Amino acid sequence: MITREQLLREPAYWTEDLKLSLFEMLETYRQQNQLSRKELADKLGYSKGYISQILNGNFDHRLSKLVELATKLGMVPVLKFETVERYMEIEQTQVLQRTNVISTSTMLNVNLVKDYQVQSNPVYHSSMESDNVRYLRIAA
Amino acid sequence: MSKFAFIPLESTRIGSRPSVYALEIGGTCQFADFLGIKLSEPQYRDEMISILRVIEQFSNMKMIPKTRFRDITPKGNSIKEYEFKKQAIRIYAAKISNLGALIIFASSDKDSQARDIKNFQRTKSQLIAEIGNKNPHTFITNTNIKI
Repeated sequence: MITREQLLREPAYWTEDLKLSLFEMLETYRQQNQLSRKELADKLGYSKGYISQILNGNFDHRLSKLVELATKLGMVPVLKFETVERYMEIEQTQVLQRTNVISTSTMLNVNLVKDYQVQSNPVYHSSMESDNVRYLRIAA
Repeated sequence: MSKFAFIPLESTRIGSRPSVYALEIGGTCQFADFLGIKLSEPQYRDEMISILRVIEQFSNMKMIPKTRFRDITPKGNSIKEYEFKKQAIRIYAAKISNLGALIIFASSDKDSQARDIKNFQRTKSQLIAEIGNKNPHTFITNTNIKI
């Protein structure tokens, strides 16, 4: 048994989260541009092995490498931090809004901005309003 | 009363209704026992946490690397079968219509992979026969048991 809160307090959860985020960004780009892994590697100037590692969800990045990759794809990485308690509040608020239990104006009162509301997963979005920042997202 | 029951997987649940469950047979949930054991073993804990994050990705209907997740549905079978994996850990699940994914079996023994898949498929077949035309939601445990 592990609770949601316990899971969110595990470093391995967030490491996997970032790997999945990076994979999503690169795989989406590859599919949109109809590129093979080899073609993608050539286009970005990386080795096929490096690209495969990311697309296999296995790369543990240096920050500078992550930033370089994002910018090569025309993206910028946005790092934010939240307390676990605040993060869980945001998750729940998002669910309530998605199921129309609370109104848009209520959403704004809990400091979520409009384009955050349409996202299916708050982890990856950069426009959540907060003074505290503790999650990373690759934003277009 | 059926020997099968579905336990909601709460840790990966974000929405109001969970979309991933674990199978309990005769009061025993193999996945819950497996999860408890792996979380208590330092060499497996991070792998188990990572795979829970991948299951969450699945329940959010987002893309997953092929190294973490694959569709293992046999040809001609209409009920989807899935394998989640992270290093040695493998988790087998089936898609249950009008419910979501149901974790049936988990293992970390690579030597038993073929046998594990056969066991998983046999249990799945028994379960599907048991569900028949019943509403799968009636199999969800109505106790406070959660994973």
